[in-house]
Amino acid sequence: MHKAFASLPAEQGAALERDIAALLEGLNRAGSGSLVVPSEYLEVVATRN
Amino acid sequence: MNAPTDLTAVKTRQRAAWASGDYAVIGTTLQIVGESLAEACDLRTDERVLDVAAGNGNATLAAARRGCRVTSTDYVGALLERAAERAAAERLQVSFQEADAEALPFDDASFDAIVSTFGVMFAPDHAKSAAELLRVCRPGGRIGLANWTPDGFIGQLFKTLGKHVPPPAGVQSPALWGSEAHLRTLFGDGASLAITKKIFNFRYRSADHFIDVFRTW
Repeated sequence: MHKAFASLPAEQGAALERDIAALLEGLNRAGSGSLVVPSEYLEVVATRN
Repeated sequence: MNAPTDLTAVKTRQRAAWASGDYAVIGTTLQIVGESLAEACDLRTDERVLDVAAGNGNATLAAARRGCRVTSTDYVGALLERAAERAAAERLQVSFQEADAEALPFDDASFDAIVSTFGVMFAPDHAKSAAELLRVCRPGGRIGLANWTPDGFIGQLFKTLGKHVPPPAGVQSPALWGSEAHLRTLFGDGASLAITKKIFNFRYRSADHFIDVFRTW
């Protein structure tokens, strides 16, 4: 993510920051005092045939 | 139809990106994912375990803590150094080796289990990486993966980043490794899949704090 910011001029970096903040705030389940963002992943166990 | 993509160039840039921050600052918060995966794989003492794209070693430590003989690999040597420091602090014997997930320097069927937490999913050539995981795993062995889903928070973060900084043309999204259909295509008849949806909670002070940590490291 630091590379994405580094590659953008300041104005576009600020726009990216706003979008990420909106994503985080939309998913935050901790209320206004903190940030807890659940992130879904797949736990996969593939057994070799 | 996109022009053929130079995946070697993509990989060179990726490697520089992973090496340029200290990803271990973020990586260490994800330790629980390695522990959970080690249990899901039902790792046994003395089993030969390979960690692919091990980063700062979360799955490596989880396997070594369960008495496995672990070979820990990544294409960023600086990350393996962080993993080695952590293993040394716990007096765990681990073999560290720089290696590319798409060309693993190991014989066929040389491991009882292969693990990768949010690791191999970032290799640009998905088919080649999956073929390598299958190749080095013995028949009956397990390949354990933790992969962010396309619709979860990190999948959405990838889409947000992609809107501002378009990814290289022709490179498949890492989040496809979090789709069951894609996994079935990648592994085909080579393996039987057991897939569980799980949640990792990112915990920070605020959105600004999260952004500050991720843009710094």
